[in-house]
Amino acid sequence: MNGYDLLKSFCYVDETLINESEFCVLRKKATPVFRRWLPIAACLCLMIAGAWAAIFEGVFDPWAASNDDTSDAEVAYDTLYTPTEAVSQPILRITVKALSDDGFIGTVISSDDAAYPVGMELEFRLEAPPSEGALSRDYGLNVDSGTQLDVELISYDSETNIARVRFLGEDSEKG
Amino acid sequence: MEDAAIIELYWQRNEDGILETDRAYGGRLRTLARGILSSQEDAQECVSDTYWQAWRTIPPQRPRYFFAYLAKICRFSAFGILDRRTAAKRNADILSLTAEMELCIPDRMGEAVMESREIGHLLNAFLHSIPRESRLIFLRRYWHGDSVQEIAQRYGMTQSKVKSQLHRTRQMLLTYLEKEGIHP
Repeated sequence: MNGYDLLKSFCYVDETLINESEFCVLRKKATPVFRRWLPIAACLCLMIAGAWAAIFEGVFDPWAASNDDTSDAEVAYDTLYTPTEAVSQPILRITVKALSDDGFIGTVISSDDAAYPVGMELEFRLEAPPSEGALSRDYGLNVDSGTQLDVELISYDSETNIARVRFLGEDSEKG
Repeated sequence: MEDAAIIELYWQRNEDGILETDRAYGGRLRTLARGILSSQEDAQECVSDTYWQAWRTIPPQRPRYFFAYLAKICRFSAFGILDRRTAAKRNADILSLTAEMELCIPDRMGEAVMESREIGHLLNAFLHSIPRESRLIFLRRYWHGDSVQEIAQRYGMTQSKVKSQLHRTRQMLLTYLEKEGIHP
């Protein structure tokens, strides 16, 4: 048997089938509207959900890659400008007793720290020149003895009994 | 005129039956014959032979599907003419169809001598077992000898879809013949 024999034997095909192939038409199945739009709608929903997750839920971080490659300069910048926790320093009210070479000698008259009790006598150094001219003389004070000052303690050296302080304000009333 | 009325003319031995047959189906039959023989004269001879055979067999026959009955006679007649030609003289369309049919023949059946009627029975069973769309396309190609383009136009499909359907149906026929075919 060869191809020609097979082709010729089609002559024996049923008349019903021949009739069908001659007169019947293939009706296209009507595609429901939703079948056509469903995939597009599904894609849109996925895109919206993805965008929502990326933007609002932080699932997708478009800058994640660049964060991994943070340069040393960026790290230094972040370190410098990251706010540190405020450490409360003792606030003292003192009475100026006498001027010294680099500051003045004073007595604590009130304190919020038990380490610096009332009556404690210290030599004070101002950390930076005060903004007001009346207090700006070689990091010292141009004040009369008896003047009361509010200062913030920066550090205290118990061996030399010298306290580095930052000037906060002056009480004009003399004790 | 309706098929039943034409057949009635045959039964009455009224020669108008042949005229009405030619008016109703002459064009289709000539197209079918020309597709196989690719010669206008041979096709006309084939169609005339068909009318003669119909006149001879009706009565006693009363065909249910008149066109299918005539077309079958016409196809038999056309292949009868084709059988007398050498393979080299057969037209390109038939050679192409023959080559495509070769693809459906299992290796072990290649050597088998089988009656056309026997193969026809297998084909009938196969065609009844496949989906309607595949069957229509397959018959338009291998029974009517339509080109892929003609089938695509007829059923409003793309040519590639027709080709793929034909390929798939040929594969199914090959499998079917392997399973059901008569062994050599």
